[in-house]
Amino acid sequence: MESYPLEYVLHHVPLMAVSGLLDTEVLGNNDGMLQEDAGGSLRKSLLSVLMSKNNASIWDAAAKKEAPFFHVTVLDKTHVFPPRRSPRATPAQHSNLSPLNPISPLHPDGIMIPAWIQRHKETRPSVVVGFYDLWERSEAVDSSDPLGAQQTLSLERERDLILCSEVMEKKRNTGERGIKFAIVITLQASRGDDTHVEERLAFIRRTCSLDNKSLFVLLAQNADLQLFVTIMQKSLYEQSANYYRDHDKRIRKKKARLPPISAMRATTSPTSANIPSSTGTPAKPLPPAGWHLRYEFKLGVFAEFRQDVEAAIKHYETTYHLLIELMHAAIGPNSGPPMAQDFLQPFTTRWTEARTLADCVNLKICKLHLYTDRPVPALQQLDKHISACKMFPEFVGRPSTEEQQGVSSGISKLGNLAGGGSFDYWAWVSIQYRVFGELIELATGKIGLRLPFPPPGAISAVNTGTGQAQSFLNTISNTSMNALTGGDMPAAQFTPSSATSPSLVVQHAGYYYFIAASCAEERWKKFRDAEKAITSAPPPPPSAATGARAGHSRIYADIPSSPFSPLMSSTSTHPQSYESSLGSERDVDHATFVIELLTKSYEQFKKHRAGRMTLFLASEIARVYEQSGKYEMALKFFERIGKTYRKEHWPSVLRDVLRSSAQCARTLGRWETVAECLVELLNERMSKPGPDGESERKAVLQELLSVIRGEGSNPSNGIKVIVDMDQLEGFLLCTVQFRKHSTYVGVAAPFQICLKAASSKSPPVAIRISRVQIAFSDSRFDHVFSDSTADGIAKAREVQWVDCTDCSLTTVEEGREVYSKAIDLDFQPGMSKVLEGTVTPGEGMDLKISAVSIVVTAGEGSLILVYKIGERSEDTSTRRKWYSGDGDEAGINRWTMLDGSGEQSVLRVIRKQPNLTIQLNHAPPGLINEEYEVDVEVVNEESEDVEAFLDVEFRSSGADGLDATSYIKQQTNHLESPTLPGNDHNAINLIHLGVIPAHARVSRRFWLKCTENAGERVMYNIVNYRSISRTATSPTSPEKATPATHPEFFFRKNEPVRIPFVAPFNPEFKETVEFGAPFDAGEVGLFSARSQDGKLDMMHLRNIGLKIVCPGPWELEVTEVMFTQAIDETVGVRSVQVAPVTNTSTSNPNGEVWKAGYVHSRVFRVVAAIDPMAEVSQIPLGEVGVRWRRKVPNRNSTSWVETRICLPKLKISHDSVCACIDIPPLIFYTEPFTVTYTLYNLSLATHHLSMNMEVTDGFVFSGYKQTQARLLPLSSMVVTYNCVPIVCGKTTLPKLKISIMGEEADLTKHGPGQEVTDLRVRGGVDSGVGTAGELIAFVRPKNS
Amino acid sequence: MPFDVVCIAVIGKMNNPLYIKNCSSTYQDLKCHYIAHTSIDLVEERISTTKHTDQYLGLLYAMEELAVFGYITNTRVKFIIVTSLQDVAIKDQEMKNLFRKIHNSYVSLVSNPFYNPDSHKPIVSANFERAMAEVTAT
Repeated sequence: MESYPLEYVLHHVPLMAVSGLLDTEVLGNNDGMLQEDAGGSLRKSLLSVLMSKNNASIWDAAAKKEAPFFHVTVLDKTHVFPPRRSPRATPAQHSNLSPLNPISPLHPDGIMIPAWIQRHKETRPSVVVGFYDLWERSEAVDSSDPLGAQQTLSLERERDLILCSEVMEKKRNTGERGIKFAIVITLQASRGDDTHVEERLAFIRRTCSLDNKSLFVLLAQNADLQLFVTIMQKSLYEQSANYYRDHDKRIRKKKARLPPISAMRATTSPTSANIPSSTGTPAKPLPPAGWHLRYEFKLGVFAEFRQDVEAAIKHYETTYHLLIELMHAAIGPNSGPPMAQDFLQPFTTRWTEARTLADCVNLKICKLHLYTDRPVPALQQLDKHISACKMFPEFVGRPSTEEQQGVSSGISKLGNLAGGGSFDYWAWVSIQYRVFGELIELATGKIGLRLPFPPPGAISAVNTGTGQAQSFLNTISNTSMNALTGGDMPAAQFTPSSATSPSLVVQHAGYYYFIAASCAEERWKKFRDAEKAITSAPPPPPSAATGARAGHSRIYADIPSSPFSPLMSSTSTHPQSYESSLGSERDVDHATFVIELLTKSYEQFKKHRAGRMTLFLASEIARVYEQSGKYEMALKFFERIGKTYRKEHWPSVLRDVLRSSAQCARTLGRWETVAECLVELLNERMSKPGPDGESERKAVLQELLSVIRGEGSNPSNGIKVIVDMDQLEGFLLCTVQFRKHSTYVGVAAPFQICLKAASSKSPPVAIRISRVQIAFSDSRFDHVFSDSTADGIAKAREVQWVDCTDCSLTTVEEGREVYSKAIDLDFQPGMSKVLEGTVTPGEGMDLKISAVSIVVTAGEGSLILVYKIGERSEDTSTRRKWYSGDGDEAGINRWTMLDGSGEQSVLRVIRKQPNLTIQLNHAPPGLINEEYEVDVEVVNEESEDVEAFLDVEFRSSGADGLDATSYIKQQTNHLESPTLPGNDHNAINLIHLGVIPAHARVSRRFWLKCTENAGERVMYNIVNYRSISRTATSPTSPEKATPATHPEFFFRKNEPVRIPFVAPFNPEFKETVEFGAPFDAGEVGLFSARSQDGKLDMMHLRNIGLKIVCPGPWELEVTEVMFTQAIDETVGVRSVQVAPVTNTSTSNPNGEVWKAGYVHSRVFRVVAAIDPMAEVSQIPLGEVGVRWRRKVPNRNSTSWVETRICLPKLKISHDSVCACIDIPPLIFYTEPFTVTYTLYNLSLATHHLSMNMEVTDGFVFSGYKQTQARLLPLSSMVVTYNCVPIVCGKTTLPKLKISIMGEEADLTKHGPGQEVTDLRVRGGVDSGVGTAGELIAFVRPKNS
Repeated sequence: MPFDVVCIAVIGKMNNPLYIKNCSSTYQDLKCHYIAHTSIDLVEERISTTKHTDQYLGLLYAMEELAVFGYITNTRVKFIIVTSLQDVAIKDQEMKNLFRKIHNSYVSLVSNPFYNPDSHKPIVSANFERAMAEVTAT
């Protein structure tokens, strides 16, 4: 757009001239310096505010109608406008831009030049604004001095009059030219509301006869200049419009004097009757039609100046039609009215001027339509313009025999002119579309035009009649645009009557740039044709170029030659101009032009988020780069765009891209890229269906192999190309499958590699694969299958199953071994090859097939197709398949479905816990003190050997830690030092069980012993073990690994066993006391004197009954039950004799068998002599030792153990008085009985006793309720009373409460004495002393 | 019919081409593929920016003297009709009817139990081919 004269293209805005703002003028003013400084800065800022809009973007001027602005120019204060020519002026007074003026560049027959517009834009203001300062006295008025005030007033008046005369001078000068004049008076010091100042201003206004709208007052202090300028311009706007309207009227008047257009069309010769007469130069003057045109254009310009868009469009359209008509008339000898022969001849300067004017007027019309939100008429204007200009002679291409094919299919309509258009034509069309695109882009960007317009379904079919549609589009645009700018695009509503007119839809700028680019490319093509025609004098026969010439067959079709004879060209009449344009065309970098336009289009589409369209444009850009020989850039673009087409499966597009890339890479000698492209082109989908495609692919394969052989490169050593097949659509597919998701260490896991042709005819011919390499995540498992080169199964089978499970480990390089096998790797078209192999991992891991590489060698080069299995994403759509084959054709060969979906490329190797069981043989419960025998048996249930270590631990089941009462040992002898050094006696660790062969068992025997505390114990049996496999691929493990040193190799199995331990014997004791009479000579006396030393002993006689009960459940063998008396050395104990009453002491060496529930009884008689004065409370008696062992049939080897049972200690009481209570054995209901209390005084003092009977409910009694007695030392007495029970059952007996009173003490004085508590009850069934000290007896019902 | 059908395209829901028929002699197959592919952009824009109630999407774009019309089924299968650009208004109803015909033939194609609509393979069906020929002939 910028290539046109800016004066034609820019939007016109009214011009305002300001004077009195330049600093030079201020200098003439000899006011106070202070004032001047302030005024100077004010002027400067005013000027900058006014001028700031000069730089504003003028494209969107009309969009802001509510804020009109002016273009501002600065005039000198003394500037005087030249007076306008009077209408009756002499011809010599013509403007120096008029065609009538001989010095004008338009003389004699020019229509218009940009300088005319420039004049109006820059030097012919519509409004002049003069800025003046109001003189103000600097000192305050002294109101008391009337003379001074008077003087000041007269001074002011004087100054004001000077100002007025200046203003009036100016006003007269501008008024002569019809220019509106306004003044701005700046008040430096005063405030606006000063009545005196107001009076002065009114005076000035009156004197200068200015109206209200022409005088503005600017307060210098705190003035908002921006606001002031806006307000001022707003109020002057209408007047400036009037100025242009005056011009309008003037032009109209002139125009009216011309003969009407219709008259001109009718006449056969131009008439110069009424036109302004020329100066008589021999050149032909401008014909009346030209004058019409000129005036119409001026009218349009003035309408635009006053922002009357509608009128401007109307005038411009008329101008345009006139101009085109004139131009057509000039070139068409027989068509159109001959109103301007010899005027506007092609290939002249005037013609070029006219073309520029036509283009610019067209541009103006389009732009103004867009300003008023009418995109469709704008588009129509463009179409009109292009079709109108098509027939210009310089646009006519050289006729050729193949006109239609000469133009790319996308722009054939534009090329619908003679000879397909010249390069000049295409350059011009390209510019037109580019300009239109730029306009659309501006319109969308600045005024929010929404595209496409009209939106789908907006136009009713009823209105699609030609004229109606036009008006409809014009009307609807305004309304719907307004509606659209607010919110979202409404839903497309397709009513039954709606219709779409595709050619009348305005789309975003990208489309127009694209057309421009296509045209630019066409221009390039035409230029090449023209060049060729000149260089190749004898044209080739026309038939040579009938091949595909259309846009995209660019790879294999060479640049089409366009034969035509230069003699046939209509432009031959102007060979010079043709030569010059061809010459300038040679300097044009066409490719850059095209790419620039394509890039502009690309950016537009990118902005509209049309990603696929940008890909298309990128491919176009790449194509142009390729054509211009910039293969590097082309390749870069091609590589970038292939991805989406591949992803969305557009093979035919991808094929084109690949072929182009291959071509570029070939030219650049990048053979790796070539090979990569060729590999993908081998896919059948990439080629045309049918035999054509097949032969094409055969050629591709041939080329691929020759590329690999290195025939293209130099020196031809063969090249190595690695192609990532997962990034492209390959002709050969590869899937892998582990049969199972997981396996155990040492168990062979089968896998299959399936190489499958992508279609039935790929590869196009059989190829021989040299190697198939399978890379695992652990390189120890890598497989390489090489070609056996044997002519294997020639029969083409659909699926060929190859058994590769018997690979051998071979060394490929230093220190690296792979499994390898030579197999038949001939790959027939359409076949599938299933290679089945196995891996046997020797340790736990996730084994992954990371990549499969297929190596095809040709010559010294090799092509490696890599399938990066490990990087594939999960595919859930296909079932897992497994080919069950046996290599035998007769066998069952078919695909079977496996569980799950996708590709199982990961094998989870689980270190299987070998099946090992721990069994315990023992006989619970164990007995305390017993050596309890436990057999721990470890059973290897695997088919492989297992090495195992055993840890055992034995302790109470409670809290952790050591248990001092539990022991474990492995040996049978000496329990006291049972364990190995370093082991605590609760546990034995690291018992090496050795290698347990498959299905064998190993047992160890342990003895457990608990010394005390019957209860549950736990035996922990922990086996650490590992399987020892000889077949699996496993890391080399250290020779002697133990769980302690290499815990990672071992599995651990724990088998805790709870074992209850019970006591072997339950002893029960019963103690009875014998009382003898004091001083009885026998040993049973209460006191006895020793015969030897005559000392008095206090004798205690007891009978202790012992019952040893065997609770079971085991039978015990007992050899000996032996009493051992304790040796007591307590002071005061004179002698203790414990003698078994029954001498049934057993000491049977063979032992006697005590069954469960057996009771062994013993009675011991204890006679203890104690010093009466000694404080002895208890005397240990001794213990009974039982030697026993568990009775186990057929075994006598168990050792005897001894359990000791301690007799209860003898308790000695030291009460001075004790009472023995005799209750009859049987008490019957209501039958009286006697209770006898025998009271003994065991001390050597006399005691006074007080006895009280405590009554109870169950009995009535007879006897003293309260009595007293005196008890002599070492004497006894008997108290009896009778009772009658009156209730049955267990009842509390009345009790005699016996208290010892102090010796010779007063009863009343001392109160109750010490109560006798040593009560012993004899006789009476179920009678005794209760817990609270009460006597309890059982009363039976009376005998019947 | 006041317009020539240049190309008919059926595009799968994953934006993969299912069927592309070039009915013209002036344009190359590749051009049709490019047009079909680029029209996906416009279809996506149409159904995302507007409250898409109609399966018929109207004119998608006009470029290189071709007008591209779109239609989308409930299963996101897109039908594209490319016509030559002429200065006549195309009644939406007529275009819609054409699309309906394509849709109907596509429905009968999908009704075939042996046809896998999720496969990315191009449509190979004599019946469908015939129906498309009828569409372009009328």
